[in-house]
Amino acid sequence: MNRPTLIASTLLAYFFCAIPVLAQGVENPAPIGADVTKKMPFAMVGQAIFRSGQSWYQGSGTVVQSKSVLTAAHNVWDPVNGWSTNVQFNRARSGAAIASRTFASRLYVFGSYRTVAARYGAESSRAFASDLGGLRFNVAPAAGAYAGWRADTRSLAAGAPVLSLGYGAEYHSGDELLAVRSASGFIPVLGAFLESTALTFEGGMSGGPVLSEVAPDDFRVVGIIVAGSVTPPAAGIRALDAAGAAFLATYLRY
Amino acid sequence: MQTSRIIRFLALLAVLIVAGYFLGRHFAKPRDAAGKPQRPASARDTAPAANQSEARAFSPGDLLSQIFDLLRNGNLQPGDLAALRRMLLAADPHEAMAAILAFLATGRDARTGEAFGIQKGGGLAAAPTFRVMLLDMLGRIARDAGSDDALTFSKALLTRKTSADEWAIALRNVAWAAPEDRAFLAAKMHEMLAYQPWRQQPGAGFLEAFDVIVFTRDVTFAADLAAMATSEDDATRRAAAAAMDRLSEMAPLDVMNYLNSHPVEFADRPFLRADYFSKADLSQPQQRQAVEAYLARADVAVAEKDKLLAVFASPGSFVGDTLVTEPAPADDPPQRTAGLRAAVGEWLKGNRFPDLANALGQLQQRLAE
Repeated sequence: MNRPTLIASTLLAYFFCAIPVLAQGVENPAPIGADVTKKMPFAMVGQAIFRSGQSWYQGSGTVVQSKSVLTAAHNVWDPVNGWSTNVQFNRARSGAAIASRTFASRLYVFGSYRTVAARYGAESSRAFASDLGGLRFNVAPAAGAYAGWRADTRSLAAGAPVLSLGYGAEYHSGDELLAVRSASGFIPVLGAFLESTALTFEGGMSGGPVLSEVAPDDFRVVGIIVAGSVTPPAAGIRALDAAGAAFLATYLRY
Repeated sequence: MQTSRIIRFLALLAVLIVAGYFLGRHFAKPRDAAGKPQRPASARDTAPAANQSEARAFSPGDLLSQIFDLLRNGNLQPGDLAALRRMLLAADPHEAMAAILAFLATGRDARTGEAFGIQKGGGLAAAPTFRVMLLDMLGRIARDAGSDDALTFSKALLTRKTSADEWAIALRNVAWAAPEDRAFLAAKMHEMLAYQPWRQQPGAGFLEAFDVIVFTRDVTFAADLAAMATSEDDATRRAAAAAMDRLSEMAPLDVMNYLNSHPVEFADRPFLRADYFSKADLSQPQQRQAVEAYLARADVAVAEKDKLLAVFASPGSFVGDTLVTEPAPADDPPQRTAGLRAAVGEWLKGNRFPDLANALGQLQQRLAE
């Protein structure tokens, strides 16, 4: 077994089989390292840099079809500045090394006129319950490769361990892929929004994937990171439910 | 009292079990398509056609009363409302509508514990009150049956302010039954927006009703939407901005002409206003003229125009499930991109907009990728 494979295997073993005592404390995102970043399915995750109004922001996303990336809606649109522009997807970034850099050619927000954000307030970790966004590209960000996905809210809510990934820029540089493991899954809060108080997410990880090992060595995107705070610790995800699956199958099918 | 409640519950449970048995038998039978009328897709998604003689064995009226009593008494079981919906859709449509109308006439109501949830096609996946659920069922059954019952009842309901949720479904029912009556819908929608108790505490139905604005394609709503886009209420701001975006997508020329002739509207939300011009199809001469007029406006800042040109490179769309309108298609017409490329090339070549040369150059580069 070569060195990168060993590192990847060790990390995966840690994330998915770590001793239960670790689940008792709060897990924080940590860099997975340059070698693991190049491995599937991590290599399908990327840093999303975009402009909203006069400012630049950062989020995360995952290649889920040849020319499509799944991300969070609030990376794509906001009610003051409208649609984000110059959305640049830096796939498998690790420091200065970037596997590919592509610009989105089409943006989508999957949502209705009302949002849960309004009901709970923008500061609430429950604010982004129906927060799915999509990016389409003229050029395939990973030369046609992509991460698999699965709509299965039950496995998430049943306490299955999952791994959440994203380019956290709050306590890290924003240029390294971070991961945080949830040993006991997430608790359903409202609709497709689930939460855990056993881990934290960083700003910049929004839109990053929540991966579940649905079969041995078969990791699928089962949700995305949409909200989080460090104090108090809270991590919110938007699970891929039937409606989310329909969104992917229709608008992110290329 | 407690004993009779239990007996009523057990009786209803028995009815549901028997109905489930017959429906199960129905679906277990091989389909005999010959000569069988097809239900529209919207109904087929949620209520496969059942044998009407079987459904008729359970009076829709009795069923409504029993379920309502259980709801009022707090004895409703998970799945009971879903079962009721399925049975109403499977029943003879005229009997079901008559039962619903009779119940709605009583004015009785109860909260269901569900949120206001829309499913594909505009039907409700969940309704916050029993009456809203029945209004939704009435509209769906009437649409499939080609009946005017929902239209008549909904128009009557819209003469008094019952609740924003009921109005939202009543407006949808009218739009389904009389899509040509956009003037009526627009008038009622203006009335809804002007009703302060609903506007000050906007619920899900009030906000989802913004889809009726998009359906009417009436650009005079731009003034209302512009005012609400700066509302103190987060939900109203978002819904107004999203509705204007979708209205711009549905009626790009009308919206652009309106915004060009009403420069105050959305002037305090310049980046949103830029988005509304990005819906233009520049292969259409009138739409191109409207964009050129906007880019030449002295009252519009360069930053706002730059935003428009940047959005042209990666336009956005809202694609969720809505009450009345269809979501944006997944594929953009190729002539749109060709028209954009041609226009940008000509603007640069003729130095039509010197202040925007950099942004136009970037756009041209992005379009070439």
